[in-house]
Amino acid sequence: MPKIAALAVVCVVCLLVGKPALAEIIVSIEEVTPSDGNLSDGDVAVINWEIEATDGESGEYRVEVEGDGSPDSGDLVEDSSGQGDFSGDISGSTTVSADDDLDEGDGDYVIYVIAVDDADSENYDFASTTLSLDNPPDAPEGLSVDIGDQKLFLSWDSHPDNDIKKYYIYYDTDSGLEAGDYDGSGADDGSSPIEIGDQDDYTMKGLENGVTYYIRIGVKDDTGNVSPLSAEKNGTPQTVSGLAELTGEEGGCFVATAAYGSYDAPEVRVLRRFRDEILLSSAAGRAFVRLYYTHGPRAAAFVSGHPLLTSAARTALAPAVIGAKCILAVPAGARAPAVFAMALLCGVCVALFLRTIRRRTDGFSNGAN
Amino acid sequence: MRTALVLSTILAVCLAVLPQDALADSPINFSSSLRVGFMLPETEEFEEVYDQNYIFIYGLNFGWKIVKDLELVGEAAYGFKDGKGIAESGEETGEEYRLHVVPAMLGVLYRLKFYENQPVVPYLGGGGNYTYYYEGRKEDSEQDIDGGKWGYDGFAGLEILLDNMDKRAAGAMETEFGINNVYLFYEFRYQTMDDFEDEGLDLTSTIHYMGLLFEY
Repeated sequence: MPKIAALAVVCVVCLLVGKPALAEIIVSIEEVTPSDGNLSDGDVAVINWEIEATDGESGEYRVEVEGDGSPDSGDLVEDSSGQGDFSGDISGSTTVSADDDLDEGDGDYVIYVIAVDDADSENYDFASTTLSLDNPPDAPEGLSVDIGDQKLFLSWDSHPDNDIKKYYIYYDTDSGLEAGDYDGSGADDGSSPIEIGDQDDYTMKGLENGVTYYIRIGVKDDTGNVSPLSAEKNGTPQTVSGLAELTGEEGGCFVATAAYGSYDAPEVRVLRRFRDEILLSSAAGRAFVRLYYTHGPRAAAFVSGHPLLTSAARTALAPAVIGAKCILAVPAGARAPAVFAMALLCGVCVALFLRTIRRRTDGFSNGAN
Repeated sequence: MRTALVLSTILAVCLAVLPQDALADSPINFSSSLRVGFMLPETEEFEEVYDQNYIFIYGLNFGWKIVKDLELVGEAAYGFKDGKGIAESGEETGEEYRLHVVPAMLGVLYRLKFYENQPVVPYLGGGGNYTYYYEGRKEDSEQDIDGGKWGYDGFAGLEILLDNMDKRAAGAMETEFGINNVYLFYEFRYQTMDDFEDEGLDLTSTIHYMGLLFEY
């Protein structure tokens, strides 16, 4: 009986300690350079890793791209540092190349550092990190420029990248400049470069007829990468006519055109801008424009037929042109007070003028008496 | 879609004015036609701006028989065309234009009808017209120009009586709607629209119309 008990005890002990415990391998990633994991074509990332072999195990380490963390499930990193042997604790670094290893285009790649025990291929561990490949967008293609009246119509091919955030319109009156040298101005939407959203066309307004503008466009993606600029195109805005105008029907700023002799005269352009930007933004202004367009053609026909009246019309329009220029020079947000101030000033001037006339008339009457 | 809507409106108006209680043997006093066609302006500039040489138009025509085969006719039509403006240099530009035309005509028409149920009826006529036009620029509505042009027109056409093809349906049309005859017609028209050779826009055109004519 004691023999049986002793045998049982021995068996239990053997079960508990007789089979050696599974040795543990622990893999960890200590540092990744660059720390944000973002790479572009031509870049490399360096992954510093560490393997702890608690019982001094030896085996093989592999650094794989994608896969699921098990050995040979992904693509082995091509650099020689992507594979090697270990025996006991070890630390090392592996270089991952954007060109050689991240070859599926822009996106995220999971990199696994895997250590496998030589004695038991089931005994392995891994640690992972993510690298992002994000190349700058290619230069936009297919830019075309159609001319318009004080405007240019731009269009281009839709960009193949799906993370395009903004387009930039670079313009200048000189040709063949570098990106930073395009400093054109005068367009309604501002100086070069004009920032717009992700779209395939754009109308540049507020340009000067007869001036050639050179245009290039660039794009920026979600992560801030900027593309090279597109090929340069150019266009010269000109006066444009539809069928009615081509065949001699009148349109536009009738009286001013008649007075200044050309639809493109600087004064006429100022008045047109004033009409579009100031008058048409209010109900009263729109009513005035409607009234003007009803009676303007008749007045213009009358003015253009009499040279004396043409000069008189210019004189009469001069204060309006100056006032319009002043108001248009004010930033858009402060134009309402500027219009009010201008109206007040005009009122005061008229009152002073009338008062002077009255005084002179009274003086003349008193003198006569 | 817009064309279908306009045509269905014209049809509804046409049916609304038809005498519902007319009898099969009632005298024929009126006619109405629904028509579609191509207006071909003669001016060379039209094709420069609008790329093609025609405007698709559709219209409605009413006639009142003064005497047996002589009718007083009134007509209104509408059409539009999209195009691109021409720069001073003569280049085509990106400025988009749309021209609307509404020709209206008042005139007389004479049918060469020699006997009842004549299968093919030639006709001719003429009158005066007024065409309202509106040409607008997409990007700058203040450049829009509109106006009207007076003119005269002459036309000739052929009507094919459809009643002979299905006499039963023709009978039903008479009893149900009071429509005595239905014709398919083709009409050629020459229409001056130039304020009698005044300066400015000249929309003088030849027009080819097809449509259905109802006599009641």
